[in-house]
Amino acid sequence: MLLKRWIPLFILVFVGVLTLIHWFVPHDPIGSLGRDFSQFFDIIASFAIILGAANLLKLQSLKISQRKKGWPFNLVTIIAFALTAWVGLNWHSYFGSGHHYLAGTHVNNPDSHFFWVWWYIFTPLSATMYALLAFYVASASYRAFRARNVEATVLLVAGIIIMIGRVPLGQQFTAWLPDHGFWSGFRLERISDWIYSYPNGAGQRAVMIGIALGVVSTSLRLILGIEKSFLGEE
Amino acid sequence: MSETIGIWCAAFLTLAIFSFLYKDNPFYKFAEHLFTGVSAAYWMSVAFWSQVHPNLCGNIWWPEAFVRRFLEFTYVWVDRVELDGQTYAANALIDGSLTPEMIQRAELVNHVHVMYYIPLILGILFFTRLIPKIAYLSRWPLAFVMGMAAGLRLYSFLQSNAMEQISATIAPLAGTPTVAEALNNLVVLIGVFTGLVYFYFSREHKGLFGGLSRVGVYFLMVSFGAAFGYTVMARVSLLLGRFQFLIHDWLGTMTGAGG
Repeated sequence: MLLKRWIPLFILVFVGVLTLIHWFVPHDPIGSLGRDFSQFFDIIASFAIILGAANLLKLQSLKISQRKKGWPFNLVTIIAFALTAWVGLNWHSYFGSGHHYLAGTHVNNPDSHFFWVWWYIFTPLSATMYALLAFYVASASYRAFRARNVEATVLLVAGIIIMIGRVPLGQQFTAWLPDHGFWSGFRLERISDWIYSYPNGAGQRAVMIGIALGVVSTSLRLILGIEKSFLGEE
Repeated sequence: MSETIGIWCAAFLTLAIFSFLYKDNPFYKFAEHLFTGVSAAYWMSVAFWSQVHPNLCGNIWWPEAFVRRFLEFTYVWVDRVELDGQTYAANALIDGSLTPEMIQRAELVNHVHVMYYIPLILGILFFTRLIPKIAYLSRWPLAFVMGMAAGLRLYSFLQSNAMEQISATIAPLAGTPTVAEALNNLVVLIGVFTGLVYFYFSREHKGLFGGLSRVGVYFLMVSFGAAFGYTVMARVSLLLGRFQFLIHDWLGTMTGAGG
């Protein structure tokens, strides 16, 4: 019970209270402790990323050992991981010879193997994955933009004006209106800008304030030890 | 040569992903699984070199022989260098101000920050999640991260996302703007207020309250419409980027026009 419940709860409350206090007491030792903790947070988060990778390997290996359907593709994942990790963690990994760079600089060095993997494999794959969504967004747009009620119509009109007003072809529809004066306000790009700045800004702001209040209340529940769902408790 | 191979590789992977538009197929599956493996290792490497190596390794104890062994590749493990009664900054080890012979004689001083064993231990404890018997120990680093996030976010969200947003909504009304600006500021005020009314769930949305809530929904719908419009445009922009790559860079390597 002590190891499973009370120690993690103590860590959470202690770290939470200390971090909160450091905003108001910037003097040492609280101030420096707050700054150190901030760096600890980044370091521990990095370990979490490494754990995620380890977990991925574990799951893929399991599928291969059980010869599940499509297991050769799981092998592809493991090989891709191993090769990328090798060129990523090995700071000597460069095209050609005679390179002498500091450890870690290979991450951003165009001569390194790691940069090659990033530029010719990672970037095209991630960009194309997201680009693929353009096609599915088109069908989703059709379903979302069908004006079935007033709310959907408002969404439809706002979305269309924003899109059309931001592309040169769309702007041509109202190009015949004057550049200055009262009627210039009815040009599509101006309407698009106005919607973006005011009604959209107001809606976004309401959402932001709502999120902030939600974050504040959840943080308070955590720091006061009321929220314990991360311990597997209600 | 590596560039040409890279372009062909990228073109193959781009087409493999696009092949999903026809139907799920082995080429897409290959590219998808490749992406999973590469991105996991990519982010792991970036996390290691951007956080663990400089911030953690640089603050804990290492045997001097070990530090000297890797000195030509990294100096983050050294705070300062002392030689013949003089003190040099750690980067003197690489900027040429010390000869290799001087470096051999120099004393490498590294301040061990005992506190940094905390993230090291907590980070290692994360891996207990992979061992079911002691998996509960992974709650400790999780508790640290959550406590830290709660302490940081409580104040920063209250300050920037609540107080400053409220201030930015109300403050412009107090100035002496033009009629158009005043009307625009009023639109923002009404939008924010009615939007917040919509998010207030402790009271039934009917009567005047329900009417205000309904106006709030319209403002939120405009926001969602704008967000949707921008998402569509961003995705189409990425799509154009991929087509541009295929037509200019990839086909260019064959015709000699691009690359």
